[in-house]
Amino acid sequence: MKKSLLVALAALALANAITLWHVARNSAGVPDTSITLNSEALSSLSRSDAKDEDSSVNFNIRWQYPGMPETMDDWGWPRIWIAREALQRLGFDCSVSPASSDAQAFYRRQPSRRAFVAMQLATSGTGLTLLETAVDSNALRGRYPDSKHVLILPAIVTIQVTSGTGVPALTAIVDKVPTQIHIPKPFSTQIRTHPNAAFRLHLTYGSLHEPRVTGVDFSTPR
Amino acid sequence: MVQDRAEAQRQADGIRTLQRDLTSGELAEVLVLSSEQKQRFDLWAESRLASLGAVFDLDRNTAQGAMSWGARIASALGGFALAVSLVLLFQRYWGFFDTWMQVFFVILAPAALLAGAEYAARRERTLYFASLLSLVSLAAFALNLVVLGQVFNIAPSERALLAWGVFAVALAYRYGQRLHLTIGLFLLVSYGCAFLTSSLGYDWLEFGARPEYAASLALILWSVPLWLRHAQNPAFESVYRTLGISIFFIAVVSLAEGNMISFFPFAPDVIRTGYRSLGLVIAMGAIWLGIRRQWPGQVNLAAFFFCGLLVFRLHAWWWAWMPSWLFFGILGLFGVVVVIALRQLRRWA
Repeated sequence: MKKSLLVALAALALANAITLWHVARNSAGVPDTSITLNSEALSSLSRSDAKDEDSSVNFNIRWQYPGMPETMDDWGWPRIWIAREALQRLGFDCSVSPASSDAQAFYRRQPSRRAFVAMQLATSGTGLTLLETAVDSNALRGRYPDSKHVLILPAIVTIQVTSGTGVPALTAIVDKVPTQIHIPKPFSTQIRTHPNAAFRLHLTYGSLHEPRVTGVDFSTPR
Repeated sequence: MVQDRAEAQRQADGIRTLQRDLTSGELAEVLVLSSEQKQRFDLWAESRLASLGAVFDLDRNTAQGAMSWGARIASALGGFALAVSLVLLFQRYWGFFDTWMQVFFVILAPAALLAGAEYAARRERTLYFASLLSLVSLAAFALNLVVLGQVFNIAPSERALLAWGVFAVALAYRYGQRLHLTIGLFLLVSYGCAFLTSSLGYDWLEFGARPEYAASLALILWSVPLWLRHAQNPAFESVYRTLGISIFFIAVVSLAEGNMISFFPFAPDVIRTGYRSLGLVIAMGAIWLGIRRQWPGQVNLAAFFFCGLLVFRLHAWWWAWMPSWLFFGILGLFGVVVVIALRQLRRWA
């Protein structure tokens, strides 16, 4: 009986220790990326309910597939932006022709894959555009060494058959990119007190590709 | 030595029934005790009831039993409501605190609530408040890891399920709470599925997409009482069995009737047919074993899933072309057949 209390306390202590150690690891060493985003690149995640029950300030970084929105199909999904070889390198089985009658069922049955994505910041700082996906983040950073404008982020990639161009082809949906940014105090207070002001958000991504807000500066009002 | 409140309650109820029957009713006519024997029995019964009552907070009649159930339900519902309240309260004000204060609060809250549960457990025998506070402590621990993840922008990980699962199971054993055990085991099975999914390079959040993981882990869960005796918490054995069999059959039904991914390299139709047959056979086996071993929960659940699997099949085969009245008539007849089969099995057992 006493043992179970000790196990409960150990679970509490260990889970918190591991989490804080993870945070320390991410912050330690040379940052992977230091990036500055304009407020146009961010969409607010604050809840708009009348009771205003969430006091935190959170934003989502806007990003898009290459060539969007022109390359979007009728369902809002991207048309072909990734080569078949790249999909195979991510671990997908592309042996069935997308034009075959079994293709939809075959590709729908393939689970999503964990990968990394390279995202480029627009020169105006108003959003990110997907460049490439790969299994190895270091290889991706090697190909895109500009750590002021290219972010390397973990993501989930799902293979899909698209017929947006008229001819069935393979494409990929990139999902669960950690683009949500929590703004800590004192930056959140500044943003809250200037709700309509444009600002620039400075982010540092650590060795584990997780962001930390390092500054907010206000420029001209919107 | 009785370790469990349920067992103590059963013994006390048995003694009271015997006491009542010995003074009135048929038994009093069949078994006539001398005044000395009756006195010795009354003395023994009172002392046994007193000793059980000293350790456990027992119900003395049906009305008290109903009240106890009410208190248990209120404790669980109160725990859930307080947990939701705690999360919403934190959400309402946490934006006004510095990061170190947020971290301090979320780490301290589950530990403080656990200390409260421990204090309550030492002061009351019924453990209603300990159960309530420990449930809120579990919610606070969930909030703890979620908030740390949000504050430091950490990508969600399946490891949180492991931490919460271990914590919930530990609380269950500490306070003898079946609800905590159910939550904890469910979290641990989810973690197992997520870990295996993630190990293969897939998104851990898709852990429900391959139900064979859940089915395998559910069988392990079901088998726990076979190799791990629960002398102090005998009621926990039925939790392992009930949860194990429920998860197993939900996984089998989703493989048999859904569009889930299987590890077997066969055509989807072959896999579905295989799982349909396997589900029916295992359900029948589970009913038989449940009757033999006197596990009523397992018998009921297996019978439910057996009928569910049959109804799915009959619907797929007949619903489109058969008149509705005939379809439901046949379903009713199947119900009658199942009742007859179960009665036969009961007689054999």
